[in-house]
Amino acid sequence: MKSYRKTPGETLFAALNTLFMAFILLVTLYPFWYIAVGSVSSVAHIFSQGMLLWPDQLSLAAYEFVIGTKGVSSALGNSAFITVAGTLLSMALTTMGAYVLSKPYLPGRKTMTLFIVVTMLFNGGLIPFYLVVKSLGMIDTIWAMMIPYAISTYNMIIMRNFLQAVPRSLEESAMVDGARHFTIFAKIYLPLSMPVIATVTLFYAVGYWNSIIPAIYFLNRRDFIPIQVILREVLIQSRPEALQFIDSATSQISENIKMALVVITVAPIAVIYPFLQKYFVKGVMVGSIKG
Amino acid sequence: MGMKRRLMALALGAAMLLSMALAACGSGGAGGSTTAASEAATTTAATAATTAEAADSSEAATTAAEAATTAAETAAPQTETAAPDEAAGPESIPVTVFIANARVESDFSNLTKEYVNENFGLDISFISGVDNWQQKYALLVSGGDIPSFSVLPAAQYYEYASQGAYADLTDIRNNYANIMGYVTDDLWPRVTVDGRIYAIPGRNTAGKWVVSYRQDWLDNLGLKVPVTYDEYVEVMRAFTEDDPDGNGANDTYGYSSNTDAYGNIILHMFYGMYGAAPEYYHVVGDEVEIDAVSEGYKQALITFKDLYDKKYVDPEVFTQKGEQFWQKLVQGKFGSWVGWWSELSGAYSSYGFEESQPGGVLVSGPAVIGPTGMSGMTANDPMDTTVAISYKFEDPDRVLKYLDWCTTDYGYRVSRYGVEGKGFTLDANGDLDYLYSRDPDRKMADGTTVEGDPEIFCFLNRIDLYPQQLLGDTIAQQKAYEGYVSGRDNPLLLNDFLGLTSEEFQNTMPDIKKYVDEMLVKFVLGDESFDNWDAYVKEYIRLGGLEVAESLLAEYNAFYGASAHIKNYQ
Repeated sequence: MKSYRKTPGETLFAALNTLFMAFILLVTLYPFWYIAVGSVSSVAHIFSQGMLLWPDQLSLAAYEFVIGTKGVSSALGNSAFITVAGTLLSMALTTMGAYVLSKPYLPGRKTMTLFIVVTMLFNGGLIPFYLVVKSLGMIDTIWAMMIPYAISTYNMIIMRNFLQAVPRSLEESAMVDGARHFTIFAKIYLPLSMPVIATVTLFYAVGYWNSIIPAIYFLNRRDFIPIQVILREVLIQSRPEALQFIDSATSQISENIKMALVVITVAPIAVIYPFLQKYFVKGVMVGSIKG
Repeated sequence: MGMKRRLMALALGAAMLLSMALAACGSGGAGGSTTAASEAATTTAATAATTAEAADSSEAATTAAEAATTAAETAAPQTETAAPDEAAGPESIPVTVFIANARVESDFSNLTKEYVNENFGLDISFISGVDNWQQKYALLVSGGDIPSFSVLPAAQYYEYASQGAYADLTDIRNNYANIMGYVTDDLWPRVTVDGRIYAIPGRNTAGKWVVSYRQDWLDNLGLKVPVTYDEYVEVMRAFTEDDPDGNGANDTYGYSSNTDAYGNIILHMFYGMYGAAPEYYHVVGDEVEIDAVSEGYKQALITFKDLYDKKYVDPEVFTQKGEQFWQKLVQGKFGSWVGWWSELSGAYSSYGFEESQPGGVLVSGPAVIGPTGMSGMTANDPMDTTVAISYKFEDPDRVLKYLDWCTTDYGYRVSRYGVEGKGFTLDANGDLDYLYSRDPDRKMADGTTVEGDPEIFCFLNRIDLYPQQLLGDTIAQQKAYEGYVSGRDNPLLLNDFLGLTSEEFQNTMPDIKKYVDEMLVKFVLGDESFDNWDAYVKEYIRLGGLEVAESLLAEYNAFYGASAHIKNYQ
């Protein structure tokens, strides 16, 4: 094959493209860098620099303080539990629900799907929702953070579309060999749908890790609050809207401590992201295009 | 021993409050007569606060505080009930308390929590809703989980009180002498719903806004803190054009500001110069003037626009957020601003002003006297949050007993600053010291670091005692006191319809306010000419401005037995 030589225009385009993308990358990464640098710097340094590039010190005092703060470590534990248990629960329900709905011979399939899709557009409103959760005895339990949110309709539709695309002859041949539905589901469909499973898992995990609203609405005691609630409380304290008392224009929490808390909150979920990302992109494409 | 000390502390605290009032309004001498002391004893804490305003410099106030301590040793009128005996504390019951915004709890604040539990049998746990607190509260009430008692702003209190969510305190409040002494007469009507009282209102000072300057810049330019408008304009000009920081670059502005608690642009001082603020109403004789469409408001905007056009005002003043404002302040980008009184101290304690601007000095000034001779700052609501007890809670007396104690000197200090020995110390001679931290590194006076505070246990503010802990040695403390006094002593622009509400007001006002805010910015930026002022007034009326005013006026007339009418704007 003849080697291809780039024209000057193409080289220029590639160069500009690289520059442009690098710029986008910097703009995207800077907020992370800003927070990371601020969390090890002194308060005066944070506010005296127009653009925070380098820390003036490498102090871990803010981290030590945050870790030592009452409730932070248990809230991290709660968040981890909610994320892991919630994702397992969600995945179990979503994959099985999607499998059933993906079968064209299921009687009343269209009606059932319609009933499920309608919940994406309409819901009963906040107070009835609260009353349902309350009457199920979930107020002030960690389950209130997971069970009411166990199935995301959107994720289930993605999954159903993917499963629909699996050739039906696979199911039929397994049937001939004597397999029942659960075996077919577990041994044939699940291994074939790893891309979409990775994607939906990530959706659920990120959603559970970041969820704050259910915690605010359904938890009154502080035993089960996730880290996001503490983060929000700390960040909001210096805002003038929080001004309930006469002295609140000044923050009771130093800026570098807030930043350290942000790092601690964001880091765990940000770390798993790159590992799943290759599945993530592919999965969404596969699910949506073939649907 | 501990019991005796506590009694003593209370007695001395009471004496201190009373003699502070007398020292401030009298000659400032420590030898206040016993007659005066007993006279003062009959006055409420309100008087103490008002008279203390006479102390217009921190020096005078320090003298007052010292005098108070001395006087406390001699005269000790026992006007308050003692703190309950720890051993005799009632059996503990769990109570939930709703507060809009949670504060960080710490081992330090837990000491106060334990103290309250031991002495009042209230095992307090807080419920809060962060920024969704209004929804959270609605859910709790509609789900039948209304908290034992709720600390709420007036608007939410009215809403739920009129639905019968709270215990009627109209009669039993009379059993609590400290509460009755604490709440001023003008506040009870504010918490009256359908003729009954369902909440104890907290008190606050109305004077909150302060104008501050870079003293070092004034010195560099050979200027003084301005008093008249001409002086003010000259300072703005010099701060902008004469390179006040001497760095050779034209990179400074005269004026900038943060936004206030409701996101408004802070023009409070300019409103004060013309006696009109956009959300206020004024009753002149029998006629009600709607400030938002008044000549005074127009003049205030014209005045500010003039400074803006001359480029003395930071052009980002309408768009910047708190963080940008603070960055510019500590980077020395502007020389003056109008802000909440504690911002002056916050620059030192929270944002590292001293470290970033070596030699920089911030100083507060009086509200500038406008071109027409008027001056002032818009007044804040003298009513703080309200405390209402759930209709379901079986023992409202227990909560009232706690609140009653919270309004005593000792109770206030414990609930706000932490238990004795940790939050403050009071020795047998009556020497009072606050260990409360205003240090940038949050170091308490005893050297321990504290983030978070027990302030959450203080539901009723003692604005008369509050300034005591501002009298300290650190620059942040001194500036806090300076800002507090400056805010308190500025003349105030009052809203004659303060605290009035109506259905029309609640439904229509948000839209009107949005329009008024929008037009304010357009007028100042020059996107809209002042020639179109009449069109603005017309649109204001079309949006329902008159109906809102009429509905509030009906409340006003009913309340004060007046027969005022709205000015003719057609």
